Amino acid sequence: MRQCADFRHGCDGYTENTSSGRFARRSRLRSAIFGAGAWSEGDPWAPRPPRERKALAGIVADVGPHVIILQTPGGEERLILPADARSCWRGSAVPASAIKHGDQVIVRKASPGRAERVWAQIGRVTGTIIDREGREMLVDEGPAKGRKIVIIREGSIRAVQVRFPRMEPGYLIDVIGLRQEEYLLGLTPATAQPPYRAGHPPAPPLVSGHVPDRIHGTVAWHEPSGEPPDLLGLAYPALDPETNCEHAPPRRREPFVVDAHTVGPGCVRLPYLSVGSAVKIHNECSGRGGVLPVTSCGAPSRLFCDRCVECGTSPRGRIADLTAMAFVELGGNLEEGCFNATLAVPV
Amino acid sequence: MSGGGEILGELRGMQVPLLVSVLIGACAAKSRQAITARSVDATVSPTALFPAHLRRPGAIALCAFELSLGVALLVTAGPLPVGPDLKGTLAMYARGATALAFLLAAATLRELRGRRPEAGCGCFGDLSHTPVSWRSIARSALLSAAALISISARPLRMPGSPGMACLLLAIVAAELTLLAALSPELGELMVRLGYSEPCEVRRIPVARSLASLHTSSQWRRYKRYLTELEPSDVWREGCWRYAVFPGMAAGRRLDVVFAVYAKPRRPPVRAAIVDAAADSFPGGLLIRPPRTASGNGGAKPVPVFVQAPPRALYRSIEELQ
Repeated sequence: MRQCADFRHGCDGYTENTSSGRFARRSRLRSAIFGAGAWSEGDPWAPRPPRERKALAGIVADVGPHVIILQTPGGEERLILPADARSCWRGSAVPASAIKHGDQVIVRKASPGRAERVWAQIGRVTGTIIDREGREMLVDEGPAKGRKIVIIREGSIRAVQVRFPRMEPGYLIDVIGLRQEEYLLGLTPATAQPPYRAGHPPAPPLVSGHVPDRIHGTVAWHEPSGEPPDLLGLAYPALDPETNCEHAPPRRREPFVVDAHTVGPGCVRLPYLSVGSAVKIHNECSGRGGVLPVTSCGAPSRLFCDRCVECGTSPRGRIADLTAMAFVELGGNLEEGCFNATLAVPV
Repeated sequence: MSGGGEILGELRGMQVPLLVSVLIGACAAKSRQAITARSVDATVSPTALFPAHLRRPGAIALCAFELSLGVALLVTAGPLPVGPDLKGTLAMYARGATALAFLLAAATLRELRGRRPEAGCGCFGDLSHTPVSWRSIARSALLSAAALISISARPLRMPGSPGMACLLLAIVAAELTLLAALSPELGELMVRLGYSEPCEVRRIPVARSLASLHTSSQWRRYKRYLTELEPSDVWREGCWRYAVFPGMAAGRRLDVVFAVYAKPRRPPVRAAIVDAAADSFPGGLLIRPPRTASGNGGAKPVPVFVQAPPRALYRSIEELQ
């Protein structure tokens, strides 16, 4: 099973063409025609200084009971840890002493120099189960992200099974856990399992006239596979099929592998966008929002016709799959897996 | 029998075709969804309360049960080659079972709402995808009451007078309106009937957009600035597809960007010219949509550069030349 885990195909994405700035330039060119209008809140592609960011990603250089020192792409960051023992996560709510040197962490800051929440070694596997041996599963995350191995921790198997009763090839899984060398140690279910097989998501409700300016639904997060760990962006489920992922080379046909590009639009009708487009995401649970660039193809999100129940019940369907940094920046808690959100697009 | 009693009797009889329509319609909608999705699992909603291995047989059994009840109500309402007593007994059992089934459905929906608040009732297949609300529960209770009052109803017959027919029609219309108000599926159905694909999700091939662009007045207007006729970048945002062409004017490298509306025939086209060297935004040269010079007979529009910021500085290409 482990030999199969590195299978990966290319797809249009931010990391494919960073040098030319082609994607970053698109929203400016659009503004040249239509004007920035309500979207003049700053350039979503412009690098933001670490002090202005709510979230930080880095590797633990040193950690004490009250202070954590991170090695980030922008240099060393020293943060005061919160007094609340439940504000650190490493498989569960842990005291700061459980965080280890060398851990990959994501921090949400309460104020400059002061951490509000810390997540260490958190990972997520979202996709279609294509093989299973006991607690070990091989999961296909789509052409862009490839395959991952998830091993459900023995003590967590019942908790995961309650939300994902069909842990068998052909069905969807979405679990959060601790990142290990070659696999994810699955600890908690991120959402509830849709009842259908992965390739058969229900059709979206039809819309007459125009797609609404604001679309409500679920926002999830993904691990930075191939992306910079501190990237603020999102994988969008409805990239233009004429100029994006649908033109990727066809994959070998294998049992239980579902190509999300061939199953229709998913259960929420989103306007076509491209890598480089800017969208507004508003976290309905935390009240935070911001403009983020589309950085990759999120077609596998179309398979998940689920709801988020973090603050009320969201409408069905995933409207965006944020990078972990963007998710934290907008006030999401990674271990919860999703937040109810509103998406607005510049159309 | 008094007029009121006669109307009540007819009204009780009218419940049978209504219940038949609901039951057979529900089964048909579930079957349609299962066929479209090529899986019975897609119809699972109330059966989400069952253990996983019982959901598929549960969904099939539910659909078959609805169809059986509908057929039983229909058959026992019409002429049967049995005695009137046996027919009356069969009709009573069919209607009683229907009342019980709807009562059970109301209780199940209430339980579903508590335990799986995100699940739709699935009553009419994919039309019933909104989470279970009090409306769906009240509808099941109303249908249960309708089946209950129809138990001892006599077969349908024509009303005795036009006045009575009108009164009966008004009462039935009120009942249907109440049912419609309690049905979240109605809005979804109306949308599907009047559907036309929004431009934001309309698939338009790139070749088609470029062909439309090549026949547009904006293309003819700015073609002279282009150094290549193949776009250097093409992308889409909502209703507009964008194409960027490299160009040159007054010794400066330009990007001429066109926006073509996602419409198969004669789409609107817009254009703007941007300094190609202005990669480092902000502070680069952004050129707003070209303004048409009004003083020269409108023969040739004058593209204008706009320095941004400040936006007050305007220079035309002709000035640069």
